[in-house]
Amino acid sequence: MTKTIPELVNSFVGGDENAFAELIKRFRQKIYSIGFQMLGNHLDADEVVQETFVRIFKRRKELANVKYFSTFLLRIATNYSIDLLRRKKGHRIIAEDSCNLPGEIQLTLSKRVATPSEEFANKKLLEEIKRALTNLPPKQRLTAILHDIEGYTKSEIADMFECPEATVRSNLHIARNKLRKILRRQIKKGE
Amino acid sequence: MTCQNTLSCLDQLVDNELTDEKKAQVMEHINACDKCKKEFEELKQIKYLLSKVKTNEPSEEYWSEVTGLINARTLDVEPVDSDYRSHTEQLSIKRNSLLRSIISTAAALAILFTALLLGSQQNQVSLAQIGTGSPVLATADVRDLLSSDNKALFSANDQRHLAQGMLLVGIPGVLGRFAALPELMIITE
Repeated sequence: MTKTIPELVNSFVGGDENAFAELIKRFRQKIYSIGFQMLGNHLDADEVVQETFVRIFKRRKELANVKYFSTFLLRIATNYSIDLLRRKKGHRIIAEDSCNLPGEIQLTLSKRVATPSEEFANKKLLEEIKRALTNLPPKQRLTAILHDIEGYTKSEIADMFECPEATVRSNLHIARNKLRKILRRQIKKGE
Repeated sequence: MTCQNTLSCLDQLVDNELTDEKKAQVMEHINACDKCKKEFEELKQIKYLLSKVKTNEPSEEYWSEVTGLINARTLDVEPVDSDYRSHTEQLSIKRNSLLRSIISTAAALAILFTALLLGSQQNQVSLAQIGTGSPVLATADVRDLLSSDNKALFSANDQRHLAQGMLLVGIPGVLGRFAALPELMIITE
């Protein structure tokens, strides 16, 4: 029978190595994805994964008092990602495709199937948005990644950052506005 | 519904956090206002694009390797006390604490410096410099000003303030009150 997360955490705190291995298996992709989106490459994402699980292992005594294991784990991962990003400040991630955008880009937001040219335009915009993300300060970037890419709620993000939900809303609003301006500039440049 | 109200709701609208009633009001405005509609469409674009950003899942071989590395790194590692903070977290806390101290000290010094500067200028600027339109600073206390011939330099309104013990002085960017001259009020233009 599949064990629940609280059951696995209990076993892990009690010293069960298999429980730790199972927790790694269940959360590794989430951690990897956050690390990859924040730092933009596999090597750094790999470091985030390893370091997060090593830290959770060292801090397993704390888990007895932790309400949600996932929040605690993701907090460690996001903190480490931000630290790593700050350490690597100046080494900006450059997206591979740096072509200018065509002028008449209209993203397909309706349910209808996009034409090949729209698909192409969307792909270009996607590259631009990924590049634009790297220009945001760490907290804003992480908030946009967690909310709009990874799908976490504002309440979950507030728990991870140990901050009020209003701060998350504010960070998200600022991040989206900055992305919007960057994208607008890119579209104008292509015109 | 005004543009300002609508724009302040756009994040909630794209995140589907508005009540049906509020959503209908906002949409009604958006459909009638090109400016707000454009902002809304752009925000939807951003959210849509971000939702399309995906991370590829590494292979099972990679995960086996990583799990092995994690196990090796945690071999014989004893759990630390609950108040444990990692090196980077400690550095982060120290850095934030240091930054806060620096900012507080800088702010305090700036206030002190401004007060000292204004205090010293107070004795250097003559009443003749008090003219119309230019930034001015009182040189002495209000009673001296009132008794001087320079009274004519002040407008009727200023004279009324002078009579009440308040001198309004236009110094851009400075808003404060002199401790040494409690009756002298400094305001911005």
